[in-house]
Amino acid sequence: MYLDVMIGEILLLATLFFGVLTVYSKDNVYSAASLAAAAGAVGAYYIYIMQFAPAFLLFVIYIGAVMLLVIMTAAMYGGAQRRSGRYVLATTLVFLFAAILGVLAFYAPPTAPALVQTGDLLSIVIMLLGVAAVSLVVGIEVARRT
Amino acid sequence: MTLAIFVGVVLILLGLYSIAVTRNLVRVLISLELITVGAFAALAAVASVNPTLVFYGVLILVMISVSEASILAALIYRNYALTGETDVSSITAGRET
Repeated sequence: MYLDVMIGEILLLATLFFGVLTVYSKDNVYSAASLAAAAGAVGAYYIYIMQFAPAFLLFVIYIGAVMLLVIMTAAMYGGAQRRSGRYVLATTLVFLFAAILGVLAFYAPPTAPALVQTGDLLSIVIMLLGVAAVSLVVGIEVARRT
Repeated sequence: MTLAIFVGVVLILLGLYSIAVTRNLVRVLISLELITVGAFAALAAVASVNPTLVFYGVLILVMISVSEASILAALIYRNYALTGETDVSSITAGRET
């Protein structure tokens, strides 16, 4: 059982999910709401790693002021063009799944942390490949629009 | 590379991609904030090494994101008041050609 070390990973993957949803939602309001959810997940991760002062800044100032501005702007200019039942269904399912995983991880018996020494070269190669792939995609997309 | 750094880098790249492919100013604002969220996620990886750095980093990032959001929001409101659109291509005055 590795569930006791999974809460942080669940929060980070939820952040990633809502970040992807931010980019690929067509309506501005759903996109801004996903962004706020991603920011909330990052704030929750800061609380999980016991960094309460940054989490306070994130929740009160970032989500309370900036996200409010973004959601209001998105609602005024663009708004919700369609009732996106799929969006609500997908986010609800992910939320429930993450909540169940979190509860399981919270009550799982603790195991000894694994000491893994990862090499630096592999991460550099992965980063380079990622940057190359994204540059290619961005180049193609920009070229198609101009 | 920890998962926090990976998620942060992916979010930053997604935000850059979204800025590159859109012409809507509201989407540009949302994408810029997504980049900030990615920076928050990547910064969380430093917390175990230097918590003070994380606090000041988050503080500075919040200040930067507040200022950029207010500037972009002002641009959106003004552009809509002048042209009735929120599209970048509607801004024609001030261009060289």
